[in-house]
Amino acid sequence: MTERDPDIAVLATRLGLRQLNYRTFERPTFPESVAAAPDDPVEAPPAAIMDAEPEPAMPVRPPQPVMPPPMVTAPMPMVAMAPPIVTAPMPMVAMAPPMQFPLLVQALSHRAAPPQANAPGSAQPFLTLRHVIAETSHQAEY
Amino acid sequence: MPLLCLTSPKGGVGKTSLAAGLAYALQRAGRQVLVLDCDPQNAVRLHLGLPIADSAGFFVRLQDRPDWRAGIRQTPAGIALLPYGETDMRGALATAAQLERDPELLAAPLRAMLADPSLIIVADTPPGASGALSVLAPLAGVVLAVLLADAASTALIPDIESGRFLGRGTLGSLLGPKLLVVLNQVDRHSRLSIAAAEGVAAHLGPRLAGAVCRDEQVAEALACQKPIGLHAPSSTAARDVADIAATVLREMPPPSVAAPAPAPLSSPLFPWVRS
Ligand SMILES: Nc1ncnc2c1ncn2[C@@H]1O[C@H](COP(=O)(O)OP(=O)(O)OP(=O)(O)O)[C@@H](O)[C@H]1O
Ligand SMILES: [Mg+2]
Repeated sequence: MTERDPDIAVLATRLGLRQLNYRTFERPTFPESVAAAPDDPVEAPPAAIMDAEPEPAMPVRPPQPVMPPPMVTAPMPMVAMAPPIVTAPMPMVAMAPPMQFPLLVQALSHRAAPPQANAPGSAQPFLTLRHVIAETSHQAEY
Repeated sequence: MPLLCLTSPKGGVGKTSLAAGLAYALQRAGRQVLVLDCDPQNAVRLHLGLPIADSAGFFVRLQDRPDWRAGIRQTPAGIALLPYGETDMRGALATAAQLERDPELLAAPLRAMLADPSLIIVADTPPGASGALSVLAPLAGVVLAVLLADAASTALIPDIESGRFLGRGTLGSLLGPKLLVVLNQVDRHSRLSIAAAEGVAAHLGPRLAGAVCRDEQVAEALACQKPIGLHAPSSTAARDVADIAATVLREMPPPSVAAPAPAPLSSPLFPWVRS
């Protein structure tokens, strides 16, 4: 989504937000050559083979030979096919909330009782409805 | 009347945090404060240091016409509180329906509380329209509408100004509580926040009671179960809240002459009466 999207432009105009210049609407304007190659890695790892670079003014940043060519259409399959990343288990799960926030400790330290299984009928608003529907469809068969 | 009512057409704008913060600041300014929680979220108790498991409350038992004096809790923050009490959706809806049928369930004890001129009642309400707000507003000295410094809140200014929010043509608007606005979470690093805050300030003039900066300390104060003035007294937010408390004290009308308040003239807590 950019400010050039007709929907965004219309919405911004309708809301009178044009003066506010939301950062989301602001895209840095690249020269065409750079903008045309958005998939270039920002920092390429050191190259094993040095290619002859036709433009000497450019910084030395040869393409990474082991990398596949940039995906032009659908990058999703690559992501899906990627092997699972094996990392250390996330410490967040086991971590207790910091003691300096006692309300967090209190709120998370004991489990609230689950809702009672034998709630009265009126507390199960869809039960009656399902019953009525079942009755109706049963009658409709005959 | 010494009733300060925290309210807002929007949810999550900081009503409860400010109710706790203002109660603390008013008490620091030498007033005796009672906080009345009218929101089924029952969250004021957490801001004032009562444990989550503490389920007792006043509002939740309204239909039994409980003795409000017996329900007052002294909180670890040192502020007296009538908590809402623990409830579920069905209970909250039933209480709201009963209050709509019989507003005196709340109005009667509230008038009794307000008859004590040495007391300032700070009431927290649920977001938007509520039975509690419709009972509280006509009795309030000051109604503070809390808004965020953003576009959604700014868009609600016409509702507040027109009186729609407090019920145009109703008793509430006829009696004319002083309706002031507080801007919360003003972020000076945000262009929108500053634009909204400056715009609202210019638009409302003296009807803007003050503004509170966005400050992580406010959120941490709740995590530590303290009002902001107790948790981080030197924080910018605590100073903002103290300023608003001073404004509220200036704006709060003196007790009416017709009120059955016993000897208000002798109270050292209401200097404006003596002048
Ligand atoms: N000035 C502030 N700076 C940073 N965080 C804030 C500030 N004011 C409030 N908050 C945070 O915003 C959240 C909502 O605040 P609070 O519960 O007080 O809002 P509320 O209006 O009472 O919400 P509700 O409508 O649900 O009753 C809380 O997490 C609170 O800590
Ligand atoms: Mg609240």
